[in-house]
Amino acid sequence: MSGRAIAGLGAVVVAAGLLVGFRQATRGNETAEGIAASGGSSAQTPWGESNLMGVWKAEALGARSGRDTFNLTTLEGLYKPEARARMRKLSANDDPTLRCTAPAFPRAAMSGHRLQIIQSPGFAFVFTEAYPVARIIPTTGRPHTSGKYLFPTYLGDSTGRWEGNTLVVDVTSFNGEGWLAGGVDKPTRASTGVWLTSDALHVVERWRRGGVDTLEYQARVEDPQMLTARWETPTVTFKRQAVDRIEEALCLPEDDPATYLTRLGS
Amino acid sequence: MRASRLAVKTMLAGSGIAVLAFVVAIGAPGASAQVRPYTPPTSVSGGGRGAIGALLPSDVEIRAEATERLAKYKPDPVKYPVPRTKWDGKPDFSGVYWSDATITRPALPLESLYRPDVREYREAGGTVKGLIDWRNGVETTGLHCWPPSPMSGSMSIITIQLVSSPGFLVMLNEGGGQFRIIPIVGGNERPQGAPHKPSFLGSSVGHWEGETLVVEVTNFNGKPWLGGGRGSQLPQTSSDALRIVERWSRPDGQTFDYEATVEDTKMLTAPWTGPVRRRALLPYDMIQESPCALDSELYARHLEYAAAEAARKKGASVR
Amino acid sequence: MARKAILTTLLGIVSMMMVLSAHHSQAMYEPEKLVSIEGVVTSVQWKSPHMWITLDVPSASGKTETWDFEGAAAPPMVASGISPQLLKVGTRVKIIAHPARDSSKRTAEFMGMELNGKYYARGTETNIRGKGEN
Repeated sequence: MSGRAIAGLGAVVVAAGLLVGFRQATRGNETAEGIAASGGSSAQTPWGESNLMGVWKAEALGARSGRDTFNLTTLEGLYKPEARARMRKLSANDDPTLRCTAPAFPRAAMSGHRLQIIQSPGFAFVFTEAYPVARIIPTTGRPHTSGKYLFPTYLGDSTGRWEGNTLVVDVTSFNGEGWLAGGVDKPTRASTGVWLTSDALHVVERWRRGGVDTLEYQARVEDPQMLTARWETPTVTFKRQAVDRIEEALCLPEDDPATYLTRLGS
Repeated sequence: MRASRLAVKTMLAGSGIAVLAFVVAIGAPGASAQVRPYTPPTSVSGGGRGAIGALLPSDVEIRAEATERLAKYKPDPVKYPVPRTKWDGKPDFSGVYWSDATITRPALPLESLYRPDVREYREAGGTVKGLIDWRNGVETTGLHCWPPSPMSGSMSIITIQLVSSPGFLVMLNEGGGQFRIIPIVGGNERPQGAPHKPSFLGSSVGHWEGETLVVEVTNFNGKPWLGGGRGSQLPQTSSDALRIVERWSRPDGQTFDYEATVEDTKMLTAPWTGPVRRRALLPYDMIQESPCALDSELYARHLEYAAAEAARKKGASVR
Repeated sequence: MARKAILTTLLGIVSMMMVLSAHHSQAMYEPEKLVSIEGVVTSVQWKSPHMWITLDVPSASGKTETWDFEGAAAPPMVASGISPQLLKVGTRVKIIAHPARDSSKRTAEFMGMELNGKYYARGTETNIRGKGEN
């Protein structure tokens, strides 16, 4: 193709994109429903932030049957000898999700189950369908929760800020009980499916729209007590689902947590 | 239950027998020297705040006081205007809310509407038969991480957070970490997408009637108790026919009101209109993580106690 | 304010609360008794629906006993001022609690505590997170 043709094609594409974007933006600003639920959604929230709202689903990721789709081989290699010694005493059966404990991100991004993002001025809320839990992320770049009120948690304490259209979230104050991957994730022959963390865990996430109907997620993980270096997840691509909300899928102790994910289906 | 106990104590204190009521001798043989009966300071005056409340700085309000104050509070939308959302100008419910007062009491108790033919079902505990022996006075659905009653909007009795977002109202419990996502539609619209699975919190759809958000909740899984299951009060079971119509409104910028009408043709003889309950805003803007997990050790202790009590009663009756 | 009026209001609230009360069962503890127990914190589990505080308590015989206290969930405890900053392992504290009905059990229901001369109530009873502090 000649340079001119490419430029011409590019102009048409841009114009079409603007038209689509404009139509959607108009529709979105006319009614609240225009942003919610099915189909396309405007690029921005009414208060001018990138719009991450919707119900999203990615494929299940991990390291099973010799296929590593979550960079877990690298992670496994980063564990310190003292961490490995602790991990050898445990097995896949010690996976805390088997007690209905919700996995934190980035592990929660591997599940293949849906999540829903709701935004309001100053906040983003991430709801996971599997092991349902609500994650509250301030989006104004404010400090972490004050030490007076902070206690260690499974999901950590999140605070986010916008870098252009990317929401960068800093997560600290984990309780050290969560795992970075599951008991089924065994990238190498020597893998035991144990993925411990400590309360020094620190995660930095990047959330952004990939297009009208995709959401991209990537995280950087540091745990100076457990890992010799920082670990990066791959970029997880979520696709928009044509549904207004995720299902309620409580993991109740009475319902055999070990089979919870099987019952949840895909 | 906490606030109710404190309320009882407050009443006793008011009648002047507070100090005596709280003085207790341990008397158990072998008790540690460091375990002492506890009495509030003698400076506690009548009309007091209960043993614990009496020790707190006077500017720290206990829950019973906050509830009482809220019950008497006259909303002032001029002094505290209702915030409105940028996107549709409707009342913005966003905030963290605490104390919970009954503003209007129901005309009838819910119990009076239960069908006699479901009594046996209720006595057995409904769907918790085999899981929870509610009669042992120890086990509750909350201990098993069931969400709070749908009659109260499945809202935790302690602290909740509401979020208004374009097209949604979201309710988050600080109590057990549950959340309810309520799509808001215009007029006769229904939200898009496949129908939802039956659940504890039901499927909610909201629409505005003026300044009031009316939410219809259906598609329950037949499990939740509306209330009861304690002492002599039978569990107030529900069925998959449960349907709740809620009205959410904001009298002023410090409060929100919640009211629900409950119908369940399989359980109740008629629809029941519940109380109007009002909650007050707290000055911070996000709740904290509190997912419910079955504490096996706690649960084992409670069950051990229940078994010991049952054995003791049995032994006593044999004698 | 007539005492009767307060009584009626509170009874109304009480009956509502009892109908709608959530998870906690108090059958194991004696709600009409209060004890104070002084000791050193050996562990704190910030959990929901109930957090646990364990103390080493010296006994009359000189031996150390282990006492467990069942608190409210972590967020309301923290909102009442009882935070990991205050309640650390090694801290000396006096806990005010409802004792277990079975007096041989060294476990009690946390109702409040005195620490460094200040009193704090059980998590669900107060909320001192004022001034929009986050």
